[in-house]
Amino acid sequence: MRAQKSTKTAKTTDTATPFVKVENFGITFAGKTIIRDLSFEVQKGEIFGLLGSNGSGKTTTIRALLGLYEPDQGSLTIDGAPFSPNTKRPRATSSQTANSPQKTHITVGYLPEERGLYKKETVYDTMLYFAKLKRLKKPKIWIKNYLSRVGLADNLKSKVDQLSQGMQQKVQLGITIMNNPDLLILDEPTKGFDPVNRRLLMQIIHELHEKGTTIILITHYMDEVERLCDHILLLKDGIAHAYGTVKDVKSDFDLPTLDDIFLRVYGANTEHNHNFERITDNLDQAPQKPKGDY
Amino acid sequence: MRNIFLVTQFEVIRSIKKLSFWLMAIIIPIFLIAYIFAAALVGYNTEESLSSGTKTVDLRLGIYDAPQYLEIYSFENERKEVQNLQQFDSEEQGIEAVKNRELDVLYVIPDNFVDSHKVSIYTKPDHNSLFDDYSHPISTLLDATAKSHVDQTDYNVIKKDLNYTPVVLDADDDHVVDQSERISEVIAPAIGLGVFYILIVVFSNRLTVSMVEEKENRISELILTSVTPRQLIAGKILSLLILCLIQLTVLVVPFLVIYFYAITNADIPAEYRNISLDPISLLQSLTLVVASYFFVVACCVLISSLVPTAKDASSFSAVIFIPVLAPIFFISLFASKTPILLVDILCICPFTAPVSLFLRQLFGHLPLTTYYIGLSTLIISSIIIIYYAAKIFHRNALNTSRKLDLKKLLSERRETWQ
Ligand SMILES: Nc1ncnc2c1ncn2[C@@H]1O[C@H](COP(=O)(O)OP(=O)(O)OP(=O)(O)O)[C@@H](O)[C@H]1O
Ligand SMILES: [Mg+2]
Repeated sequence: MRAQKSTKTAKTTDTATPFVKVENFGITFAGKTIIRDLSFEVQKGEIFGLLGSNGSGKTTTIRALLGLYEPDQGSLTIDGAPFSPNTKRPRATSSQTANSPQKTHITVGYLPEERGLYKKETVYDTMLYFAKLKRLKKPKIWIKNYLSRVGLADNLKSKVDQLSQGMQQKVQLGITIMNNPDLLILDEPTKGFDPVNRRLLMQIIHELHEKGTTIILITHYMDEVERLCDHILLLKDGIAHAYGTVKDVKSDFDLPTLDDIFLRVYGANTEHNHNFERITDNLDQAPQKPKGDY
Repeated sequence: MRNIFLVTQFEVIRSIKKLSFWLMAIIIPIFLIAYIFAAALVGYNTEESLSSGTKTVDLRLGIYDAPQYLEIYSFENERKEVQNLQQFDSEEQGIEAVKNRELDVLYVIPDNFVDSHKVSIYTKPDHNSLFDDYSHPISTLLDATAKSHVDQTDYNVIKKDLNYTPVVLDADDDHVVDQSERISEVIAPAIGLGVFYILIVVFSNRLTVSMVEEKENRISELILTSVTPRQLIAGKILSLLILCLIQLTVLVVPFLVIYFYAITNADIPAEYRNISLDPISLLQSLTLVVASYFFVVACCVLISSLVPTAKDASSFSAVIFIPVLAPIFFISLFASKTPILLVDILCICPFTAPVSLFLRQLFGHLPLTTYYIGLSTLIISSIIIIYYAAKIFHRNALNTSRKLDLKKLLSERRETWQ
């Protein structure tokens, strides 16, 4: 593992222009500021960990990056331009990636946090639809091969709503990694996976990374982050609280694990810590004094 | 373009794969045929009663017999239904009597009857539905007269070549309209209104449900990173159009079969036999159907961009029907030819314009300027609505709650946002 990681970092350092660039990004929902002023960069070919507690705005940031939310301030670009599905334009960065070099536009694979599919369609029809939209070259062969590799070969003709949650998630993952995306964004990909499937997912991430795919990973599992990520960013109160390589962040905080850093940033073992209060006692009594946001 | 095509293809195929689509497609024409059959049956019954004389007794009949063709004695010998037949000295007098409602039906036998074998039958609209046939009393008389003439050729003429021209005096008296002309004028707006009705009842709901589907099932993120919102909307609208055409084909084929069967086999009145469609009114109706359809489509897209679930979408799209179908309740206003302000307003307001314009065309007095104004309001408002709907659709694609931030939804787009 260690050896692999050092080759990865070596690969990323030689790229000068960032592949993903977020500058002074801010967004509010109904008067509530979610992201205040966020700037970060993701280099081509690296695995970037986007971390933060529940509700800190990780998903919101990704949605804004993909044009699903409109930012109130700042700019979010992929390869030098705001993301738009299927816009054909010359690549800003020269592509030495192993991805099909004839591609004329940036492809993005996004596994959203909310896992929805067309419920009444079959697995095959759904995947074929997205495969065509993503201009996959040999969609039918690809889908069959993928499904048999993830153990869903028998479910080719099943309706999506007849699948278990984890199985549906594999279908979505397939849709996400179709066409070897240049940028892969995974929002809590291991959520709901058993250890076997988690291993499978890690393998897929690893393989794509080897092929030169840039990956942004959102997860709450710090062991995954330590194992996979080159750079990380810790979101809190709408700004970046920690940003850098895993090693740098650890030495900045002078703590041995990312778990410890996470707990420190989010207020565990400090005076305004909720964890010292008992949680399940006196739930039926009115609170004594109003509390802050966290 | 390719993406729009792919979305369309996907949506069409998954719809026609469903049994419910075909059930709907078949049930609608069955209902319509049943309805028309019932209407025809009612019409047939009144004809029956007319010929048996029970109803004609109540009608006040008049006649202007220019060539003095009928022989008076036949009046006395015939059934009592023609005994109160009032004789007029001129055609104008008789028509005046019909206009003043002193008379229900006037038969005019013209000077050249012996050559033309033509009899005109004048009525007011309320005494002449499309199914009514007032020729029976006069044919009884002509028949009796011809029998009394020993001349065999004369009798044959009466039996075979007799030509009735029904004439309806319209509500405002100054127009005398040939019945067969009326039918050909009415047929285009009537079909247009019917088609529009089917489209909005069946397909507006289908469209809203389909537009909300991604939002409701949390597929928005997955799909909107593969196609742009506009491509998705365009694809869905296009797929709906194709489904509509499939539906209309299912609808039209049995009608054509019945029509041709009726023409070749059934004994239908001459005026229905050679209906030629008036090309201008056909074109008007066609443009109206298209414009109205797109207006409703635009409204449906707007609704579905605002609401989070298909259930909300359905209930809101039902709300659109109320103003759209409202003009039907004012149908008597549309029948009148005198200008009424309310009618003009209804024709110009985009929500009520579709049905209003069809109704006016149906009653035969749609001024060209009103038509153009109504049509352009429909088109312009559709474009405006669809523009904002697409914008809101994009901004609201991930909002699964009912709360709306309208200010944000309608604000100007930032340059850095696609
Ligand atoms: N469409 C929206 N309307 C209003 N508020 C929103 C909307 N989307 C997100 N928020 C708010 O933004 C905040 C951040 O949400 P977000 O989903 O980005 O968090 P997250 O970091 O992904 O959390 P989690 O780890 O639980 O997934 C939350 O407080 C949420 O209530
Ligand atoms: Mg999230």
